[in-house]
Amino acid sequence: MSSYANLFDRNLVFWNIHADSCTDLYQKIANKLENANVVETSYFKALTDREKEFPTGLNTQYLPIALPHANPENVKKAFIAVVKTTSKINMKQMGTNEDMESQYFFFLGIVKEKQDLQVKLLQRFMQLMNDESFVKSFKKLSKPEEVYEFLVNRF
Amino acid sequence: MLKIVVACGSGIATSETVVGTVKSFLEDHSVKGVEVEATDFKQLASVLPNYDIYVWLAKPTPEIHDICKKEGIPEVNGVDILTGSKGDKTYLELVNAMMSLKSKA
Repeated sequence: MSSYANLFDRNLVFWNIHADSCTDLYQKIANKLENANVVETSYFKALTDREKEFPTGLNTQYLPIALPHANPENVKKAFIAVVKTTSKINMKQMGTNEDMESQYFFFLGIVKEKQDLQVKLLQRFMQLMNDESFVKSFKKLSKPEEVYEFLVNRF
Repeated sequence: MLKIVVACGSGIATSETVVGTVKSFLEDHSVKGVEVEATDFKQLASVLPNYDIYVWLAKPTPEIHDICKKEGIPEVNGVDILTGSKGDKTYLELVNAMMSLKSKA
């Protein structure tokens, strides 16, 4: 297992989340992250404000995803939360602010001390998203426990 | 020394990632004498004139476009570099920008 793979947490994989908008999704995930004690109470507002100004949707080659994140001062502990919603959510694309839809979300909890590690994880992640067989297998996963094991082993 | 700046919203996650990706790409192709740095969007307007190429991850504002135009700084789509989703063409825009500066020098 790579050093950055332990940023994944089996308690931070949330599958089949019902949400009717990105704000609704952010609120639901922010509550879970607060309960897990990895973010500050300021996180939800910081996240929604930042996403409005700098959206994080990405049309990768095989799968549209988003990487919602707030500034480090709202994060207590480095994490990556992996989320799948029951249906597609309207999002905006990074860089162009154009509309897109996504069902898969990787919430990045970035803290300054672990920034290098998280940058490595993000690089590896982008590499994997260009691997068709990885994406195909990832999309088939139906249980959070499977998702966790799959990601830890592939990263 | 050619200087490239990569800017995202906060200068911490995606811009640092693209800095790493661009550095690896340049190393793999034995390109020397290029500095690659990340910045956040707030600082961008003030530091931009110090750079030769601007790689964007957050949508450039009209103010940023104006600076680039005035200073002759090529703008490169960094989202394609982040995702690598254009395959072989991922770095095309960046390489073209570098070549355009070379022919000017």
